[in-house]
Amino acid sequence: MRPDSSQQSLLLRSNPRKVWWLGLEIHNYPISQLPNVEHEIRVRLSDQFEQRFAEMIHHYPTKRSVLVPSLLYAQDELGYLTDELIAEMAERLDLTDLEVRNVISYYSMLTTKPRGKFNVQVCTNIACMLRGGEEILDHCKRKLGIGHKGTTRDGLFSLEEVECIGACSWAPAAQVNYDFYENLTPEKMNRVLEEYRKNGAQ
Amino acid sequence: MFMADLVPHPDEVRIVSKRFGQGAIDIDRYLELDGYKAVQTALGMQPDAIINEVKVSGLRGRGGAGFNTGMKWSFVPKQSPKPKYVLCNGDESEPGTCKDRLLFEHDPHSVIEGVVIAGLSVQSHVGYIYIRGEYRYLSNIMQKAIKDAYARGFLGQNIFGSGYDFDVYWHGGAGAYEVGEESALMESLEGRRGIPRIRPPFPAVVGLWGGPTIINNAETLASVPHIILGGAEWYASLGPPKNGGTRLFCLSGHVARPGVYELPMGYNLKKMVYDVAGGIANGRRLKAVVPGGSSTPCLTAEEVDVPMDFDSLMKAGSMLGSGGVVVLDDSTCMVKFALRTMKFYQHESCGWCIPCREGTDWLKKTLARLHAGGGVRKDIDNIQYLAENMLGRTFCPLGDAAAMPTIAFIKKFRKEFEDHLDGRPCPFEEQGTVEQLPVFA
Repeated sequence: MRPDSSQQSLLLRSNPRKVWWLGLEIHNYPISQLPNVEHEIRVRLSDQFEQRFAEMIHHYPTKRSVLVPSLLYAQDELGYLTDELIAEMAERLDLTDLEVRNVISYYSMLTTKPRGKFNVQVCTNIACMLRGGEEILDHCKRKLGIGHKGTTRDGLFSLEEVECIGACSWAPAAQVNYDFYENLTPEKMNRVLEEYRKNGAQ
Repeated sequence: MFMADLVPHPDEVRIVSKRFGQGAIDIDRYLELDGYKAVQTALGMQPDAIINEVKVSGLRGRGGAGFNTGMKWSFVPKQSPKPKYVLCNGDESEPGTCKDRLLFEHDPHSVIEGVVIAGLSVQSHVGYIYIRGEYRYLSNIMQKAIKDAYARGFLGQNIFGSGYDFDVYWHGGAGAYEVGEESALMESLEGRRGIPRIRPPFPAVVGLWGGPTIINNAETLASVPHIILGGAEWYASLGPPKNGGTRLFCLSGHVARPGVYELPMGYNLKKMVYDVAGGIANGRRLKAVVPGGSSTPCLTAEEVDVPMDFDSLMKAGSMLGSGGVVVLDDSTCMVKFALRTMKFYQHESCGWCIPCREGTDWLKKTLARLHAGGGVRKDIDNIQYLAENMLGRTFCPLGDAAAMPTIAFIKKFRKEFEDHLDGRPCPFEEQGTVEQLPVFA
């Protein structure tokens, strides 16, 4: 591959060091001389996100610490973690795409697949199971016509069976996006879903 | 937003929950309720005096392990080339536990105060409060509380005009039980997968970004200001020896009045179930109690007459854990209960240590087969054997947490496991609701 003109000038500016026993020339480019690549905009995030991100990045001695909370905030805006977002995050935090994906795959709230506008998460862990969490889940499955991790055709609801959400004393409980609904009965769950359906239709 | 309702009981000793339901989210209201007095007292104390006060109070970790908090702080080296950190663990995910949530919801400033005092005791200048991702509304509350405290000069540079600098930041998770373990928590805060680190070195020596780190549960840290204000002797006198103070017990399951109650340490479990929680609902009978979150071995109905403190429960063959008391009545199938518990651990195992990754998966499969009537007699011994071989063979206690309750279920309810053998469907379920599996003998 031939160096283009900008790289050519770099070659001239750097001071090649000859390694005699290899018969090679090694170029050490000072970082300040590397061509300045304009940061391309891949994904538009809200000002609130940018403000939060800029603030949070100063809380830690290393940049990558900000990754998990900011991925979750970005997911709230985009619906899911798109490839563009992953590339964007990797670039901002000096990581590879793979490192970002590696983190995403660990946390159960992060998803790289689109899901419904309202994510219904029903807890069926021990405390909820004893008080009818499984019935609530079955009820939601029938009512929405989807299974675990499924999404309705209109894209309004998705359903998920989740582990303990920390509402054991008020079991059975469910979360729709981030809102808690506790001491549920199938009738109460119906009302909750109806309310969201109404909001979603607007 | 749903505000969890709080049901009072006359036996409650309200210390950590003193300000619940009194609007202490607001910083002015918090100051009226003796807020930020403990930090000012602590600023006038020597670091060693703070550690000693906490040590004498007998405060033990409320997250589950029950280690003496003052002792933990004293392990932090005095001189360190790297910065020291305080990390508050609010990644509450243990099934049966819902206490930190109330703490953040009703009294976020007490957690901040606890973090600052812990920082003063080891001369650290930065604290992090980690809140699980599902608790989004709580992290909003916490962010506002931190902002308010900065605005008043209670945090940041020169706190309370003392010349001491202390910063507190919040951090959010994104759904992982494993991250509640201290070394995985640090990994997660550093922006990685929450995989545990080998110990030693312990976090008190090599922790966050290699610096010495104090990691405590949110309830532990929220108790510290009360100890500084009320005195260590007073706090220690509330509970039995070496188990100072009170703790938030989360009663759930088949009881008439489930809820979070603050009771003194050493409170009788039987009284807790029958009196505080109003007994078993629907006129049924008690079968078993899981005394400290799903990781602790269960107690049968005959064994429940025990004081709820770390040492007594250890003697009774169980653990106080995180204070999540799950009560089971006689309509519960123990095999199904064991299966659901194992399904949780199988889902949450991070896969780093093979005994845990493979063990939880095989235990789940075997238990599922047994519950569906496809088990053979040897399965019961196999489950126990497999679980016993997971104990102590993993980096973090998740493997133990999965194995211990399983061993207890087999030991204490073996008869029920045997009732599922020979192709019989689950005796607790209606005929035909459990899908029948073929028996391979």
